[in-house]
Amino acid sequence: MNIAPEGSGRRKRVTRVAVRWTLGAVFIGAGALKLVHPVAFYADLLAYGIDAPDWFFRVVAVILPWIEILGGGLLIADWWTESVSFLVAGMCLVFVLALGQAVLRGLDLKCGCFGEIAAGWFEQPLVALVRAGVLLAASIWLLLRPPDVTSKCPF
Amino acid sequence: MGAFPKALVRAVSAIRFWRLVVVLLASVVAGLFSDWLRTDQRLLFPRPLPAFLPMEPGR
Repeated sequence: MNIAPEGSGRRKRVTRVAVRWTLGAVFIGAGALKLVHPVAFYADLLAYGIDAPDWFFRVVAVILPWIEILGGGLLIADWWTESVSFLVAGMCLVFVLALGQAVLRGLDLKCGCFGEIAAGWFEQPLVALVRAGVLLAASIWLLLRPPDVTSKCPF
Repeated sequence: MGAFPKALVRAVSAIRFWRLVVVLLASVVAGLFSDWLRTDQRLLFPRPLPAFLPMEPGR
């Protein structure tokens, strides 16, 4: 009787579910909190000092929270995970790049990741960069795992 | 090719891009609609300032 592969497979499945749920919950929370105060999020985006037109930041402030909420919801529901985890990894990479350039330039800003509710050290660029790096690693890990056969998605 | 690039190629080739397009389109529609529905904090559809309504003399 070979017990080890079954135990290992179960552990991998449980880890995958835990990563999916954690990423999903973080993204739904972050998106919902941004959605409550879009103007504050828009102001936080402007503080990054990225050279782009004003309309671009307005569009990002309006649409990004919905991408986070939909992506997070799909991850939790285990629908389209192989595609959504790529989207989530891409978003995390953009967050890492934006926060990385802010840290390198020594910008004193509020990251704006969790809307107006989070304040103080949690919103510092360096802390936010580490957080985004952890989320990026988790989303890449999820992307590289084969799709869960238990997914109940009808599409 | 190492294990990581192989897994990455396999993961990227498993992506169904129409699903990404659906998620992005749904987000764009939801974002535009939610901004349009707002009574304050509009970023894409700012309301015009209310017209100044002078009080009638004698009131």
